[in-house]
Amino acid sequence: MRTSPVTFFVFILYFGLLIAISIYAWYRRKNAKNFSEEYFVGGRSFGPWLVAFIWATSWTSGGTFIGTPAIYYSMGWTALLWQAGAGVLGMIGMLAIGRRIARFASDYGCVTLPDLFVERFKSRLMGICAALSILIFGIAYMVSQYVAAARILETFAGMSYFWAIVFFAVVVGVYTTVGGIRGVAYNTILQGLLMLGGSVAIAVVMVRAAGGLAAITETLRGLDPQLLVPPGPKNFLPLPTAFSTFFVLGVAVIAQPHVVTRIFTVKDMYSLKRAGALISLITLVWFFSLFASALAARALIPSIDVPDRIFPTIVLQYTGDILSGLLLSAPFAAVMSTVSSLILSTSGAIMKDIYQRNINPNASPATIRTISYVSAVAISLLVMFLALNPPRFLQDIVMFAISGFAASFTVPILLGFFWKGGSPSGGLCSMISGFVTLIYLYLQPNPNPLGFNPLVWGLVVSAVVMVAVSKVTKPNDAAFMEKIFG
Amino acid sequence: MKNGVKSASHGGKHYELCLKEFKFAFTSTMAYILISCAICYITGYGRSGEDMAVFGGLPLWVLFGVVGPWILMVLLTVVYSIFIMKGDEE
Repeated sequence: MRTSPVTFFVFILYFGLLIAISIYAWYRRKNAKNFSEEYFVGGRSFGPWLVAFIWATSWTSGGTFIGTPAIYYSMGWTALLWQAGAGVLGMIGMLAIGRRIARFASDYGCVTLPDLFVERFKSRLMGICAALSILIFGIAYMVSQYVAAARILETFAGMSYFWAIVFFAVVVGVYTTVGGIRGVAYNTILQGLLMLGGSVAIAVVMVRAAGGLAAITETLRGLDPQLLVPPGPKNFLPLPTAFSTFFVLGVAVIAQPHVVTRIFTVKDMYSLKRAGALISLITLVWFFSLFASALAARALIPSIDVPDRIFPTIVLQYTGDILSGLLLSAPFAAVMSTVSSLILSTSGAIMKDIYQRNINPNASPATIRTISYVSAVAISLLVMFLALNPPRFLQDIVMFAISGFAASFTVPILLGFFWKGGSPSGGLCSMISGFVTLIYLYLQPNPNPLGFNPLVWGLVVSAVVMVAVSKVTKPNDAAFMEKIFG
Repeated sequence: MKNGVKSASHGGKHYELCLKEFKFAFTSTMAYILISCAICYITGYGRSGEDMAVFGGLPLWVLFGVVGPWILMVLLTVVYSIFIMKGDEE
């Protein structure tokens, strides 16, 4: 594949625009009275569109445009069932918990997910455990995203892997550190529109090129009838696995620290409710479009050596120079929005949950600002060095990290905020047991007992432990419980 | 005025309202997952791809088990969030 100079120019222009937006955001936030509130949660001032786009682009990742189309391409119609968990994102990720979490976070000044646990369960130990979990899974997640970004730059810009990693680390480090969450949010509007518009544009181009949906399906039937029916080729998605995937790619969003903290940025309930609706609509259009284009690609290009390259391949083969430049920015936008959100979540865990709460509770605003910047840059550099030796299975790491977050945090969030009986020890044991169950199963020769994903087992164990331990341990202070539950 | 979702308290009516919203969202989510899996199991799993009926280019199991429920879930989310979800924010 050769990239034209016009395509390359559009791609570079896009990076320049991102940096410019971050500098604008820095000017907007530099006089903020409370640095943490502004830097990590945008002063809790975001309206529905900002919240919806920053939420949706934080949830989707580089895998959405690289690994996911490869699965659509390889597995045919069954891959849409694999993706169907996305149907619940707005409902469970925003509407189910939004009012409760946003109000609690606002009133108790929470800017990170561990903050939420510390204030609800009155347990600093729980905050430390949550922060460590975020660092472990967050860094693993970011490594996979850096590698995905480098692969895109290798393909499109002809960079060496080393320089691609360095270039990406500098761009994302600068634009996240300079702009904070406000810069990320402003950039996210551009990136989200690019991802949304790009997905629809490539779908229209590809489906038309393949002769329409009916022609595509008949071509797939001729290639391999298994592409039309579940469980798909190579027994891709047995029913228990399909059931589990609704949780991994849907319900798990409730506990992703870089996503759930976007609820903290909401200005008011009007914005929260509209954001829930927008998230559902955006992700529906997004995934249906990407699926249609990948399916059309299978009909037009029946085989490819590396399925991960299917999206870049169709962009360069089936669109013009300028549209190529815009479309190839879309996977990059997905990577950058996820990485910047993860950098803020992990640096927030270091600054607020480890340093400020446990080492220097009386830190001055200047110190907090410095620690936040240094943490963000240090994490960016650490991930850059880890990514120089790329892991082999990127999408596996993404799924592992998503499952890790969900196994650790889902039950403490849900039973902590919606069940009066949750005790501090119950919350802590629930978090640890979910984490340990997931890790234990991933290390087994068969990590999916009875065909169910380790996350499903992690959630079951975590819920049982939460209830059992809460029943026999000391609850929170009665006055506090009366205040938050009535 | 300070930004953010505010209230006088977290307990009482506010908690009951949040619990009601959570129950609705959780129940509809579980119903969506179970209905989608059940329809796909009945109409898709174990069938032959060579004979699979197609409507509008979509295999029938996809139409009834994935696309239909997904679109209905999105419509439910939009209607619930905009027209039904009301409470103590005023």
